[in-house]
Amino acid sequence: MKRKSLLILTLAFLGLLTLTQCLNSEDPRPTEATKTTELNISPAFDWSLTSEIELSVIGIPGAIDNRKTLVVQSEGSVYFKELYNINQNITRIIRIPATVENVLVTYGDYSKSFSTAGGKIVLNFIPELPEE
Amino acid sequence: MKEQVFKIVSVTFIFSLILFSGGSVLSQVTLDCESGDRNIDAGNCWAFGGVAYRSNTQDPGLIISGLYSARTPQLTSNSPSSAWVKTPWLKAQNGNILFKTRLSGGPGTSRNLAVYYANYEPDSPSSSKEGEFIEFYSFTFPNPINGNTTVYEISIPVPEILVNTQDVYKIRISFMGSGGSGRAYIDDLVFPCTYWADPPVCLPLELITDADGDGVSDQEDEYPNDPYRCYNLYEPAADFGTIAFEDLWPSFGDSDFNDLILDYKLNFVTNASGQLVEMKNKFVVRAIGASLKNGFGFTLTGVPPNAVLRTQGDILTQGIIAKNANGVESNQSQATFIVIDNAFAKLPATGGGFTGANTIPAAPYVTPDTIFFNITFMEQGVPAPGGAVIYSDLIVNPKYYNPFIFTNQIRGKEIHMADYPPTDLADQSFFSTYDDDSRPGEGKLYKSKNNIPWAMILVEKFDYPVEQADIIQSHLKFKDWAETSGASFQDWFKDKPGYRNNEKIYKK
Repeated sequence: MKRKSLLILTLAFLGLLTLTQCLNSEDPRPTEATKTTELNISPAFDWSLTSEIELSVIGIPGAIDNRKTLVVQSEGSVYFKELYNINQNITRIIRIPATVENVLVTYGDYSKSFSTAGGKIVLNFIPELPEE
Repeated sequence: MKEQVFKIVSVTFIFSLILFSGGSVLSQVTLDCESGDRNIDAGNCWAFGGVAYRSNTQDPGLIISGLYSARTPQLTSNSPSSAWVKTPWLKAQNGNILFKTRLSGGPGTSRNLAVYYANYEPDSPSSSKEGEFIEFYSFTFPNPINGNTTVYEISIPVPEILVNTQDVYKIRISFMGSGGSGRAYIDDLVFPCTYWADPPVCLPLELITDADGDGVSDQEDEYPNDPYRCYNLYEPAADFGTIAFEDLWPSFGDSDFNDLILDYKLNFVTNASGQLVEMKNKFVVRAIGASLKNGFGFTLTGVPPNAVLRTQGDILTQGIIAKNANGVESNQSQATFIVIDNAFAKLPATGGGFTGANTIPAAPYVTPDTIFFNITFMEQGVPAPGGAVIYSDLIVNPKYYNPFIFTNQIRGKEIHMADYPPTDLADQSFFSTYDDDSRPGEGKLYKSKNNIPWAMILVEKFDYPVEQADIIQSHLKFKDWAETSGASFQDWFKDKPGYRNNEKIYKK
C-alpha cells in the first residue's frame, strides 16, 4: 500500500514536471518589468504623445482674392488656424494629440472631415466634375 | 494666343469701392476656357451641363479662339436643361453680354440657344439657392445645320431688371436641338457684371464686417477691434497639458514622474499675416515630489533671442539667472526663458515632515498657483529687431517648444524631454554619466541605455503617481505604450477601465 502510494505520488510529480516543461517550452514569457527602468525601449521611440500631420491645400487658380480662416479642429479643439486665400496652394505642418483619429477642416461655410491615418491631408478646392 | 483669362478685374479694388462708395463699378466676368480644365472654372463657380472643354488638338478647326472652347453634347433635346453653361453669382450692370458660338457642322434638323437669368432665393430648399430660370434671349442657328460651322458673335443687352440692384443673379446659356448628331461650341463669354460668388461653396458672396481692417472678418477675428492681433492658437488645444519630470538625472530615480508636475497652456497670439504677436502662457506648479530646488524654463527652438521685445511674469528669486534687457536668458543662441528658478517659490513644501508638495496622500494639500508668463514679439505691428516669427514656421520643428528643468539650483544641470536638445548653458559633462546615455553626436539625448527618459510632455492634465509609485504601477498601459513605441495604448494616461491602479495615483 505504502509502495503504491509512493508510486502514484512519483508519477503525479513527474507528470506535473512534464506539463510545466511543456508549457514553458510552448509559451515562453519574458520577465515582466516591474520598474520603468527595467523596460526595454526602442532607441527610435520619441516618447511623444503628439503626431504630425502635413496639410496640403490646393487652391483654385484664378480665383478672386477671397480670404477666410482655414481651421483644423477636432471635437472643439482647434489645432490650426490661419487666414487663407483660396487661390493659393499651401502646405502646413500641424501637431495633434496622437489619439485624434479624424479632424475637421473648415473654411467659411465649407467643411470636410479627414482621417489622420497616414499623417497627410490633401484638401483640394478644385472640384472633380463627371466626365462628359 | 489669347489672354489667359478668368477676368475678375482687381477684385480687391472692386470690393473696396463697393464697400466704401456703395456705387456700381464697371467690371467684367469672363470665361474663355483657356484654363483647359473645366474643373478649375467650376472651382470658380461656373457650372456646366453636359458641356466639356475641347482642345484644338482634339477638335481641329472647330475651336473658336485660343486653344480651348467648350463643346456641348449632341444636341438632340429641346430641353434647356440638357446642355448649358451657367455663370457664378453676379451683380449685373448696364452693357451687353457677349459670347461666340458655332456649330460643329454635324447633321441636324434644328439647333438653337436661349439665355436665362435666375435670382438668388436664400429660402429655397435647393442647395444652389437658384430661383426659376427666366428666358430673355434666344437664337436659332440658320439652316442648313449640316456643314454649318460659322462663328456667330452674340451680343445681348443685360435685361433692365437685373441692372443696378443689390440682387445677385446667375445667367445660363442653354443649347437645344433636334435630329442628327451635331454639337455646338461656345467661347469668349463676357458679362458686364461683378463677380459675386464665394468659392468653394459658391453661394453669393457676403460682404464682411471688419472693424479693425486687418482683412479678417469680425466673425472670425478673435480681436475684432485690434488690427495687430487676430487669432489665438493654443498648445495644447484643449485645456492644460502637463510636463512631468524625474529630477535625479543623470541617475534614475523612483520613476514616479512627479518630481515636478507642471501644467502648461501656451497661447500663441498671431496677426492676420500669421506672425507671432505674443505668447500668453500659463504654468501651474501642481506638485513637487522632491526636495531639490528646481527651476523651469523653455526654449523656442529656432527663434533668435532678439526676436523678442520683452517678457513679463517670470519668478526669479535665487539670483542665478542672467537675462538680457528683453527678458530672454543671456548667452543663449535661441530664445530661452526661465519661468521660475525655484518651483517651491510658487508651490511651498507641505512641511510637517513631508517632502515636497501634493504627492503624498497623507500630507496636507497645497493649493497650486498659476504663473502668467507673457512674451511680446511685436508691438503696434512692428516686430523686434530679430524679425517677425511666423507661427506656422515655428511649429514645423516638432521640438519647437523645448521645456526643461535645471535641478538643485545648478543652472547647467538641465533635464529635457527625450532627444530634445540642451540649451547653450547646459553642462554637457553630465552626459553619459551614471544612468544617462546621452550621445549628442548621434542625436540621443536625455535617455538611458535602455532609452528611458527623465521627462515627458502629456497633452492633457496628468493624474500623476503618488510618491515613489513607479508609473508602470500606477498607469497600467504605460508599459505597453512604451514597449510598442507608441503603437498601442496611445491613451495610456486616460482614466479608462483597466488603465489605472487608482491607489497609486495622487488625488487631491
